[in-house]
Amino acid sequence: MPSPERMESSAGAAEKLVMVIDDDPMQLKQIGDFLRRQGIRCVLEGNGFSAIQTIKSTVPDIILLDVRMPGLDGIQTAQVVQRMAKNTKIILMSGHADMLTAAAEAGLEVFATVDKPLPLRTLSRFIHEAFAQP
Amino acid sequence: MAPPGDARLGQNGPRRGDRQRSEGTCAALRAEQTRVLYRQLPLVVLLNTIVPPVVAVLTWPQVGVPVWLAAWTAAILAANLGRIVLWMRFRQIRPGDAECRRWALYATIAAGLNGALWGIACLAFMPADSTIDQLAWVAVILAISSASMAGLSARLEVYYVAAAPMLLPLAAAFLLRGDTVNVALGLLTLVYAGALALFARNIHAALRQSLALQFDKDKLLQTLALAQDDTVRVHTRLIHAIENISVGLILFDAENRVILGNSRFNEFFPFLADLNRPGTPYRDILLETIRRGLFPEAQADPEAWIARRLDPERLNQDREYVLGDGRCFQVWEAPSSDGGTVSVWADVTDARRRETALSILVEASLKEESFLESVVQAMAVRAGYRWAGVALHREGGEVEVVAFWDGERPGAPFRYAMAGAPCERVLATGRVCHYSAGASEMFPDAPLLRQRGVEAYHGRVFTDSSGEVVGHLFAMNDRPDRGPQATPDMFRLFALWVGIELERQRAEEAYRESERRFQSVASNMPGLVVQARIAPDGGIAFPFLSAGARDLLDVDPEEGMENPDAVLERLYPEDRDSLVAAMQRSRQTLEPCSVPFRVTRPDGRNLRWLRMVSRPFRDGGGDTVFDGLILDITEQKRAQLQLMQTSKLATLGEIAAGVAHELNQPLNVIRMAADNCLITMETGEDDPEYNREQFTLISGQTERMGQIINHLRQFSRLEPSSVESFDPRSCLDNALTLLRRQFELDGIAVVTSLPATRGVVTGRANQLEQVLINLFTNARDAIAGRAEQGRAEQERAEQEGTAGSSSQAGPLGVRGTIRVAMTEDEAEGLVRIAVSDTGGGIPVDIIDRIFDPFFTTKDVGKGTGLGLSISYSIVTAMHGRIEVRNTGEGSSFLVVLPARFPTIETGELADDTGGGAARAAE
Repeated sequence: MPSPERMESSAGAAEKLVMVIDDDPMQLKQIGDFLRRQGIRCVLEGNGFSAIQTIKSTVPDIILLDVRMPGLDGIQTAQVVQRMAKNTKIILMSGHADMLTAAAEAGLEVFATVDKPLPLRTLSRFIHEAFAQP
Repeated sequence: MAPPGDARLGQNGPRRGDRQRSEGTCAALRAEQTRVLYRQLPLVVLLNTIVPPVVAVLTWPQVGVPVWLAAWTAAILAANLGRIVLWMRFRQIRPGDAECRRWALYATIAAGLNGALWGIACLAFMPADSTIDQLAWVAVILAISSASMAGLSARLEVYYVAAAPMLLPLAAAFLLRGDTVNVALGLLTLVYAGALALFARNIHAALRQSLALQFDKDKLLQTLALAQDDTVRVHTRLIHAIENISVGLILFDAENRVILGNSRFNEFFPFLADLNRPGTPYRDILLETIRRGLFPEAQADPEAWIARRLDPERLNQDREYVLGDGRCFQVWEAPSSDGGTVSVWADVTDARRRETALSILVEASLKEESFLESVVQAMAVRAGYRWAGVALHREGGEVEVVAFWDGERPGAPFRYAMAGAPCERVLATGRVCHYSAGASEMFPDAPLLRQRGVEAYHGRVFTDSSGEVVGHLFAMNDRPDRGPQATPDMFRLFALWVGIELERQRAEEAYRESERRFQSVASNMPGLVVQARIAPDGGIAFPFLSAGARDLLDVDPEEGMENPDAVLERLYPEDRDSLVAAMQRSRQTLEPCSVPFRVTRPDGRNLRWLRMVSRPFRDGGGDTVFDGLILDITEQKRAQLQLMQTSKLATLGEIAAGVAHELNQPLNVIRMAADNCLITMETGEDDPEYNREQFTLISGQTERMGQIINHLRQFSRLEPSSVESFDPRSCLDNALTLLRRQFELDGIAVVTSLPATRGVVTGRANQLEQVLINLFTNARDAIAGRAEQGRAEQERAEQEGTAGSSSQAGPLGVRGTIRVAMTEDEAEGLVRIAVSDTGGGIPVDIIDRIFDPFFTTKDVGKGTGLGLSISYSIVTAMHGRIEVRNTGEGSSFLVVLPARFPTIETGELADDTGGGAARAAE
């Protein structure tokens, strides 16, 4: 398991913070590259446990969360996060439509869900919409 | 011919001049002399009775004491009276030869006494001084002596005893006186006595000889009489023999006239009896026989025929005649010593009938004609009857005549009612019924008899082998029996025969029916009925192939039966080996065998899957015979293949979600990498370095996807891969490659225990992989199912408000563990792969059924129920086994496969691992 990678982006959108949680470091890197290029500050986490540890000190505005992960999966992580940071908006990423349904069943309030493969422009639109909301 | 008595006489009779006589003959001779002696005794006694009184009277005056003279006279008379008594007793008793000895002694004693008395008289009463008187005494004594000599010399000793006491005292008396006259008288007396003795001796010899001759004559006569008796007896015997001989015999003289004919000939030909007497010309006899129609062949030209019959050329030759009345005679004629002819007529009718009957039966059996028709003909011929039949007893008192000899030719079968027919009687007796004559009058209600004017009838029941009466034989004739028939014995044989034959026919018919049924079944059924035979030396033959051989094997059944290689050639070589091996195994164990094999046309097209199922048994000769069925299982194989494919696809379905995720991950990377590049291009921030980095990433990711897809394709390929030796470890690695990531995401830990192994198993690698994937997905499902259940329980608990702080964190981390362990046992030649889970195990009530096809505990749509069943068949096909047990926390599946352990030296292992690596690289 790669150690959680943190990257601070030079804040663009009113010092908002986006946390990306994905067990695949390559995907994590691609999303990180994209967000940074967009001027969005982001934190990258490789699994649910390290993300929860980080959120204890730094509460992100938005969490981009991969659903399928070994260990603590996306749904379980989201449930924990929602209790810890009520204002954090959660965007779920999954290649599996069932997982999104499972999220709804688990009583999660997610801001958006994005299917994988992930079109980065769509992701960007969702993030900006989330930023725009109070 | 000389009578046998003659010969005996010539050999044993006394020859003329033979003086040697046996002891017995001498005794008989002596006895006869005794009898002569007694016969002459009365004369001697008479003389001796008359003379003494005369002597007494004449001597009286000269005697001093007359009392003595009287006494003497009385004594001599008494002695002679005694002799008379002896004589009378002898005549009365007529003593035998042995007794005569005694009687001779009596006579001797009496004669001696008489002689002694005369001797005493000479000494006592002869005067010494008177020469005249003395001469008188001499005369008397000599006269008496002479008479005794004549009468007693038959037995010489009697005479001697009688004469000696008479003459010797007289001579002594004279000689003792000493004077010349007396001495002269004494000498005279002695001379006379000697002369008398000689006479007596001669007379005795003459008598003895005459008696001997008499004896010989008597004996001769006796022997002659005996000889005559013998001759008569021999003659009588000869006549008796000739009369009773079983052949007719006529002797002809040189002019061909009858000398003697026996009565057997008359019995044969009663109408010739008048001619069969001495003097009748042979020609007359022959003419009469022709007139009576005995010789049909002579009718045309009787004279020529008779001339041939009398031709001396015929002699010493056997000639056989079938007479007009059906009888058969063998005639043999030979010259006799006196120039005549001996003619012998033998009745061979019975023998000829027997031969004919036999030849009919033999010919019938050779020509395979209807046996029963031949039997009835043979029966008629043998019995000398016109008609014969075999009848079966049917229901309702009906009789069916199944074979009938109608006089000259076979008759058609017919039926009649038993009532009123003689067969009713036959059946009533339970055995046999015979009428020598008048049968049709006796059974007026039997049309069969009435129409034919049957006289003689013979019927006899026959039985089947269980002894039950099933029918009867009958024979009928329009003539009464000539004599006692030889038929009973013959009919008993025929009855036995027909009973057996009918039963055999029934059995044969049943057998043919069974054979027809078998042939029909064998040729109409869709498969191929086959009998294979393995000789002790291992050679295979096919004694039977049904018509299906043409369809299934493209082999003509006849050709295949003749040449087993024609059949074996059709098989795929490796399948042929496995079929033969399976049959050889089965031959050892006598277990049924069931072997699938492939056949192909000579041109290699039209592949077909067949299966031979058969059950072996050992026959008497040590061969093993396989009765079996070969079925076309191509469709079944196809379906099986389809099922395999289906099951594989189902297995794929099981892992599809995981695989999709596996594919989605690199796809996602690619997408995002491409998007990033595009975005930088659009914003003009593109950096060649960054782009190259991204494209390298994309390229790497597609490689990863390609591998996964390739493997999937290989796994789901329709054509089965070929059987080969492979390292089972590679299958395990491949399966884990597909599943490990997914299990990780599912929170399932995979714990492997895979020490370095070198065993290789035989089979199809992707099938074993399928088995392992099945086991893994089953384990995963079991663990997931248990987790689901646990969560549901927890939620229920939460709703009931009993939940504690445990709900705070939720079920985190590992939900279950799958353990994979592979071990090998080189000593037993086995590889074991164990897949255990912590899924809670399998309910005991279904654990025995989990390998059944279509058995599933999963929800509809989640499982086909084929996974474990297919796994089972795959492992079994690899001659391995698969077992399941509950471990307490879950279930454990164990796959055991036979394995080889190639040594490094052979390089086989290197090849195999190389092969495995090559496959992994694909």
